Amino acid sequence: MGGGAAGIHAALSEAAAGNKVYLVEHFPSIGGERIARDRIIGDGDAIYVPDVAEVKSHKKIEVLTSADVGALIGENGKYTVKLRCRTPRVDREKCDDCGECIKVCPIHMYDDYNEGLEWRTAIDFFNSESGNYNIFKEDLPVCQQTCPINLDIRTYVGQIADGKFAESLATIRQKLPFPLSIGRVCPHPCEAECNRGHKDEPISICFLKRFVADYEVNSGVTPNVQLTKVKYPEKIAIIGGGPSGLTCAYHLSLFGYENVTVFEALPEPGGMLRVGIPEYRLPKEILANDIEFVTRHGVEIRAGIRVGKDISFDDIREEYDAVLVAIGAHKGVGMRVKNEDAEGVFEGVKFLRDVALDNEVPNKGTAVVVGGGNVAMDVARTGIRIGFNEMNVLYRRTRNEMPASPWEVDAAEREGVNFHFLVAPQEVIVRNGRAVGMKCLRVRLGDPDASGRRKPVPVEGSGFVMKGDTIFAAIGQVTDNTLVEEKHGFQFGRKLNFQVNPNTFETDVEGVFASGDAATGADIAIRACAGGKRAAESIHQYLREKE
Amino acid sequence: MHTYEKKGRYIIDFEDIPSKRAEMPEIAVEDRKGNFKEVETGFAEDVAVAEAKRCLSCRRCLGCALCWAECKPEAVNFDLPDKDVDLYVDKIILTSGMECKMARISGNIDNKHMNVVTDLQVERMLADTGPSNGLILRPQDGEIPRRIAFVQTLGTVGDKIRAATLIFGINEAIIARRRMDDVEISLISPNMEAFKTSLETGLDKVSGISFISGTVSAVAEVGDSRDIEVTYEVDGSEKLETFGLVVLLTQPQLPPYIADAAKQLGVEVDYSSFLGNQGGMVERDRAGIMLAQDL
Repeated sequence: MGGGAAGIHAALSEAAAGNKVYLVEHFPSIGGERIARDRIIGDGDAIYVPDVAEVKSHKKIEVLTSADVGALIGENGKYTVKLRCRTPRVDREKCDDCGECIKVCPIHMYDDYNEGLEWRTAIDFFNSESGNYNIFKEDLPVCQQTCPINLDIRTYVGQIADGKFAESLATIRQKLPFPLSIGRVCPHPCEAECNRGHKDEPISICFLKRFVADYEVNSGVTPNVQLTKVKYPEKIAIIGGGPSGLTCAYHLSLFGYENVTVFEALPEPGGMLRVGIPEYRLPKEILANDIEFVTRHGVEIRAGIRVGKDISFDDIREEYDAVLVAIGAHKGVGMRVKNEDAEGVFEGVKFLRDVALDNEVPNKGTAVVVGGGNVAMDVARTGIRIGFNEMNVLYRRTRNEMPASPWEVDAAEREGVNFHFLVAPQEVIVRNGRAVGMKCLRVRLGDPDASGRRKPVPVEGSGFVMKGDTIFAAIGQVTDNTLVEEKHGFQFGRKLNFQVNPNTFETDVEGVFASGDAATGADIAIRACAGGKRAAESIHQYLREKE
Repeated sequence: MHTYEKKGRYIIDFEDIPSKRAEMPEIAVEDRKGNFKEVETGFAEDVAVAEAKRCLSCRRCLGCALCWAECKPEAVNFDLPDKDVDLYVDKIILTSGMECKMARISGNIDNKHMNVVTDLQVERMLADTGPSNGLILRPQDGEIPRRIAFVQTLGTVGDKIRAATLIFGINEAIIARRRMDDVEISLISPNMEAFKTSLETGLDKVSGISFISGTVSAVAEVGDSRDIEVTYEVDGSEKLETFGLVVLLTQPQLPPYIADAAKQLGVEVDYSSFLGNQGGMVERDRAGIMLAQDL
């Protein structure tokens, strides 16, 4: 197994001993990437050139390329190897190695065999020694594969390049109903994988999505709503009107479900997109456009109804044929330091929510923000906007380890947020019943822990006080699962998230599904949307099988 | 970016490589206080179309069938299916394969600098079948660099693998030196001293390469030449040197398909299990399972 120099060497010596040999290679061609050689430090030239030609012509050796191993079964010298050889799409019996196909192929792609140092054509012989012609055609481009909801990026970007903006937006909406919002807030994992990044800089995929979505709004076009002729009568309740719940509702209505009701506890739908992401990143009226697109598909949103309080979970179960729990993760995690319940200490997520809902919030003096994620950045940048004189962010590792998106950190810094790295909060200092600062210790980075991140180690005698009239804890969120009770029989994870089957998003309770942050723990919006879409497919399957 | 394209087989120049991606326009920082105005203002139409045109469509087969039309022996067949094969064997020989993890180094996040390459890329350049006819060239301008630094950084893998990686690097440096004798080559590794003492013959016979026992802390690109400035610590003091090309030694590990096969067979292996007994075989704890040692 493995057609590099070592594999070729082993195959030839086994064949010389009279054994029948199968040489199994994962890539389309044998030969390996390394120039195999003995140590040449001591003396002359000892480069070992694997004899690809002899392996190919040897009667005792059968070469199997593009092979994926399915199963290896057996023991004691009796083994079964189950292989699937990916098709080369070229009949090698017929191929006469003339090379004409390479001359006409218009696709010039990153040459992985040569480590990206040159380009090759989509039909190629991979390694010039082997002459195994092969068409490089994949199921999904790398961007699409990386996107949690598998948006057809290559198509919609190509449509923008052709000036077909409406078609591009339609491509996006086949899967995602929130192009305006996601096009603004997505941390775009697809761009990190973009192959163009190997050459210069990745394509600006996320902002291109925003562009086509903005283009529609700016041209005053109302998007078409196309629903299927097939209709289903079942009633589905979706608890939580955030990205996951609304994406699920959208896909259910595309399947033909006419009775989809979304229950939203807050006065306005949108979930974290509405009350988590600040307006300077995603304006309310922009988000409202995306949500309106979903409601125009016949989805009913009942805002201001908190399940577990205004209507019981049992009543919902009674009335609806299937239920999706997509309530997000809106509860801040405590800092676990002394006096953290003092007046003047706030959960970062609650602060953002209050700002978004125009509730009264502190906005004077100096504030301390504890945490290094995107919520901490949102709190700090919001604080600068609403009147705080100074926002001081404390993070216990360095800038390089910050979980926040680097562009958010840069923007916060430009806007005047102060960063204090390698600082661990110890205790909230309280005077006259109010927080007046945070006692901190300086730390240094020690050895990596189980997660691979270097663990902060306190520096003795380095204690100091960071003054602050207001202190925000932004170190993580968990799900508020109080809408259900123990008798319902749900299992919960570490983030109080609903345990689900990761493929179907089914909970342990029949007919109840969960997706988004409520199922995965706090994560990015596009992954919540992807979960909602998957949950819609599962709910559809569940209801149809029941029929 | 013309270097390898010029020397390649059927190469088309991409006029726009390298080019910057479109920048998102923003409102001024002064205009952000006391309001919640959207910071990012969005691409203009011409900017968006130009940015979309940068997409390489990932340069995978799109099924245009030009090759199919051209192929006289009618060998191209898009519908040729995958093939399932069952093998019944008495012995399974595993090889290590080669997957190289990029070492992280400050100043080279996401491997952005053009004139920083990996040892595996240099291996391809030195190969006769490679893209540059056996010479080491700077990716940026296609020139032979006057000074090359091979750099091994601190890593998470074990000593045995680090020593093997260092041998790969030293071999590459020696071959490079033989082919391009006016190139100055340095090899910087924190393991250098330990490595030298482990060698029987030592590195005495190798001439023209400076072996430095040092720890590189950062690399940075300098000026229009896009040479690479390397900061390293040697004998307790910090040094700064500029090189035309920096070669980062990667950390080899088992590719997933080999690791998975070993797991299915119930044998515990990692990359270092394939190092040591050069070119030979090592029998594993189960009958008929062998490891082919790296050459």
